[in-house]
Amino acid sequence: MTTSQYGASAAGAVPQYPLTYPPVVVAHKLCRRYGSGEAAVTALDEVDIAFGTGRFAAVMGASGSGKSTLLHLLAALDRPTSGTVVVDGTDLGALDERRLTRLRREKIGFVFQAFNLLPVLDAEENILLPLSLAHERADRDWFDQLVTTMGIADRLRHRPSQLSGGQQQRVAVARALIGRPAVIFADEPTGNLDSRASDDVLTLMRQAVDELEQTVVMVTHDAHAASYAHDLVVLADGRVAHHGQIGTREAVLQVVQGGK
Amino acid sequence: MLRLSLRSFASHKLRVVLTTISVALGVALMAGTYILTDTINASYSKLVGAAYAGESVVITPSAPLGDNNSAQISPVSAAILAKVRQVPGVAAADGEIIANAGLLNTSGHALGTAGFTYVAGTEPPPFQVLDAAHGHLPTGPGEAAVDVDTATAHRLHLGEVIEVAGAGPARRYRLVGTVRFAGSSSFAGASVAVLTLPQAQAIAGEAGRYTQIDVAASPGVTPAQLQHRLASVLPHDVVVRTGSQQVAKSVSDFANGLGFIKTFLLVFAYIALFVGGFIILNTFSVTVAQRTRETGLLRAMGASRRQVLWSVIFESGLIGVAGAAAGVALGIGLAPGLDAIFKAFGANLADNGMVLEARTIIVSVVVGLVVSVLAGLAPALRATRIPPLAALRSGTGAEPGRLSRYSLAISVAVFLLGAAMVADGVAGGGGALLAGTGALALFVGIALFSPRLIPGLARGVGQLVSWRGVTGQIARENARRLPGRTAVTSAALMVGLALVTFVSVLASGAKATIDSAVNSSFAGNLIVEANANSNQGIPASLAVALQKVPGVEVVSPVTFSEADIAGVQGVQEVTGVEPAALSDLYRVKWENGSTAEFDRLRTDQTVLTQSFAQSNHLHLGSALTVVTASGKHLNLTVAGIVSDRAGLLGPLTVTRRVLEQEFGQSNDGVDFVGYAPGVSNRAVQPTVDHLLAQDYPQAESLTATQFETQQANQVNSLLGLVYVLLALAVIVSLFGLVNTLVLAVHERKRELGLLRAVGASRRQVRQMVRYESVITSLIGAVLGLVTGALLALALEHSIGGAGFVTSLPVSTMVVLLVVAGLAGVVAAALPARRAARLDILSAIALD
Ligand SMILES: Nc1ncnc2c1ncn2[C@@H]1O[C@H](COP(=O)(O)OP(=O)(O)O)[C@@H](O)[C@H]1O
Ligand SMILES: [Mg+2]
Repeated sequence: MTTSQYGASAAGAVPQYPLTYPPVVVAHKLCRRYGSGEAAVTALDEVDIAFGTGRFAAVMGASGSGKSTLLHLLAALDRPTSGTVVVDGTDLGALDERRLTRLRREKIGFVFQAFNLLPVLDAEENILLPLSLAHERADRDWFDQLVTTMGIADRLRHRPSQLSGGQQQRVAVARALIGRPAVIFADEPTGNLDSRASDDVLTLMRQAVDELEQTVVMVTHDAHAASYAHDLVVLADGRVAHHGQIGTREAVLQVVQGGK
Repeated sequence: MLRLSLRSFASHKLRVVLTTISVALGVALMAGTYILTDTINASYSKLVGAAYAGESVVITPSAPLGDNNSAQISPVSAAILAKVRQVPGVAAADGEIIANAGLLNTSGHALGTAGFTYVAGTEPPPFQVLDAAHGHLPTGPGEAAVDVDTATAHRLHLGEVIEVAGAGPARRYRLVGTVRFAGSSSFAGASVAVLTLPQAQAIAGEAGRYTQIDVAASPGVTPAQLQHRLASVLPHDVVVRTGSQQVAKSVSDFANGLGFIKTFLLVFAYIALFVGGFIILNTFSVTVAQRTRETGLLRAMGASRRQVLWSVIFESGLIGVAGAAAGVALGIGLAPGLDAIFKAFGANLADNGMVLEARTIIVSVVVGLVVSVLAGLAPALRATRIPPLAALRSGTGAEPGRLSRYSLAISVAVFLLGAAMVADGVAGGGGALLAGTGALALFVGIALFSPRLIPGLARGVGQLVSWRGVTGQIARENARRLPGRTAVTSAALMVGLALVTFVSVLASGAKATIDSAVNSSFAGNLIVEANANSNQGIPASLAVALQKVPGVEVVSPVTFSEADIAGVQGVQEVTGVEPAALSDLYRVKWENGSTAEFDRLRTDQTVLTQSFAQSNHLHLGSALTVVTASGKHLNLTVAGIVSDRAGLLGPLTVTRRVLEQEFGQSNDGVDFVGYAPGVSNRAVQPTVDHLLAQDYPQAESLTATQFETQQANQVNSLLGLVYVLLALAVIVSLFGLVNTLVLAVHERKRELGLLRAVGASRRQVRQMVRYESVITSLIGAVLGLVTGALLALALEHSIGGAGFVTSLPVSTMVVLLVVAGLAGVVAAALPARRAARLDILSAIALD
């Protein structure tokens, strides 16, 4: 992991990132176009990408580069114009609406930038929501471990309106982890938080990957946030401009700025 | 501002449509009622105008007690006709008779078209308004004709034998023709058997007498001149009118009679509009809340409070006018439906063409406008309290109004005011209008108070869906999160269900009261009374015939008329009895006097009911001066005071002979029959029924149990009509429920998106909306059941006194709950589908 490696990407060639970890999410020739004719926008243009199990990946890129679009396609929230997405061995293109819902429930966890929690449920109920919807019982040990790790064990009876922004996001992370999904997608999870709360949430996400053996794909525009990840993907104009391991915040900044 | 209002309409089409419908339904019933009654009145006045084309002057018996009473009136005698013919200027004069009578085929089946049935005599020209459509008019004693509609409805053929039953045993006639009245195929919806004049008089029990004398003037004599001449020579117990005066009177009498139906229907229209008001209130509350920032911006740019106020009022007014317009259009379609409802419940009204008067449109629009603007006023005032700051800061809502601190006190005050009005209206003589207005105030009070109840009720009712796990829990919490909105939505439902419960509790109490009164008062074996073939009681000769049936020991004929009593407000019912026979078969409680004295009741004596005696400060020995139904003056002494649980006896009871001779009442109302000791019903009732079938098809015999069933059926059939009409208010409130749910789905887009993202299936999303809907509707149902039942019990307590038996129709109330729940499911269909269809991405996307 040297700076020269990143320099290669700055030259424009996309390096084939050596996947030393078995892939859990794989996209092949992924395209997403919005609108048609003159006004058509190609948000993603033939993207090939894979995310390894047990890794924390950050997806960066300029505004409008297609980060959110990519995340939505990988997370089965949207369907591609063309190309395939395979999550944990399942080809999303082959699934009907019902199976997609089930897949989201069982294999995918989400953390959004804001509005992650249902205001009418308390923290514990929000965390258990995916299981409740599936009529499944929670693994109590896992639940306890999660809420302890996330530091919200004493906030379980609070409703979202009684929690700080950082606490809300930690509850959201716990909710994403409760079903031990194959992968967690997070879209700017710290976008609305101050730096201390951000650091807390990012540390916890990293901990979830390192200690609880989870997989996280996080979209962010903040290099500092990205520096918590293992891997970095940089998108530019709907294409992958860089994919490699991460070092320091400075290294990330360099890649991002160089990739522009 | 105006353009802003219109634009906000365009962007919330569904909301506007649902709110408009909620106004339109109430207006539709109102417009439909006007259209129906105007149409019926118009066709009646056309018919009557044509019927009196040949008469210059018409002579009828005077109605000493006014026109609006049911007592029999003594007809005009033949001597009057003879006198009329002597008056110079009279070119022709003839008597006619028309009277209530049963019309049957030979197997005893009624030949009516659901309305009244009459017998009428033919008349010579120029007064004859009948013309034969087929065959000819009756010319001999054995011949009859019927109106075309009746002949068609019952597929009657010329040559067939029909029976006509009036004041005596039924007589048989051969059908020789079908007739039109003044060119119309029926007589304003009634069925008529036309006989020769003497035969019709015999059926009516008025041989040689007429219900009316028609006079034609000689050339050169005006109707007014002739009226004047006749009036000066004729006695005062007849009334002389010109033909056109008679037409006007007849038309206005008819319209008055129809006025009851009109008022009855309009009450339900106003109930539906009242419920619609709740929905408008809710819609505009939400709209104002959603537009807080926009309104703040307008205020910041210099819009005055007044401008903000008027923009909201303008919008609600627009909804009102649109709703009224749609309502009038719907009403045009509804009028025939209303007619059909009344036909189904046994009232036949003529209905040719359709009359849409300007008044109908004006009243509809004004009422729609007033209801909407009144309902939009509270949200409009709230909008004026939005500060300019709201434009800058989200979460800055309207400043609380001066009154909001007192909301609890206000709700209680409105509730108590309503309760007081109801109490005064019912018990204090304030009248139905006051009681009705009070009930509305009561509902408003409950609606104002109910936000405080919603969290608890939602939790309670929500237990029903808790077995569904988290979807049930979320639905329950959603129903609780905006208690004000849930309160108004369910209050709208509450009104309809409270009224349904109210009438069903009253009806149930009435049925129980009838049962208990019959059981405690009736000591005989059979009750013989008029059946559907008669509107004029049973012939007096029936009592005699019954007495001859083997096994019958006592027959007690009871007859009814009316009297005007000096010093007493209004016309009072008078009952005529054979005292000794009645004492055998009917029990009353003697407050003053005794059965023994009663048995010797003289023709100058009367017995009073306790309540009448008390409210008019009468006692034993008091002297009464009364004007009878035939205009005679009578002095009566009070010889006894009774409590009559079953309410057979009117305020005054006299001997039957007095009623016959002084009141002109020749028919009986009911005959009580008592068997000899040890005789079984099986041995007598069949014989009685055989007699009735043979000679008195206008009567039927009932045992006490059969009588109770029959009374219960009558109550049920009225109840059915009321239910149908109240259903409209409930339907209006369901549109409100749909509206609230659509709004909620719209506002909770992101929550729904989130739910879908974390794995909720479309079905689960639909479930949540449906459960929320069911919870809301059940809250309305619970509030309605409790309010309605309490109101009914209070009413029973205050008017019924000790005699009223209270009975809660538990099964009906359970059915109501179930129906309310199902209605919730139906109301949720559209919002649930919308919620499930939401695109996850657009739902969770920021802004
Ligand atoms: N729903 C949509 N309709 C049309 N264009 C869209 C839509 N969503 C995204 N885009 C366009 O697709 C491109 C990528 O958007 P997005 O994935 O949101 O970028 P990022 O998240 O990196 O800012 C942008 O040009 C954006 O304008
Ligand atoms: Mg984005």
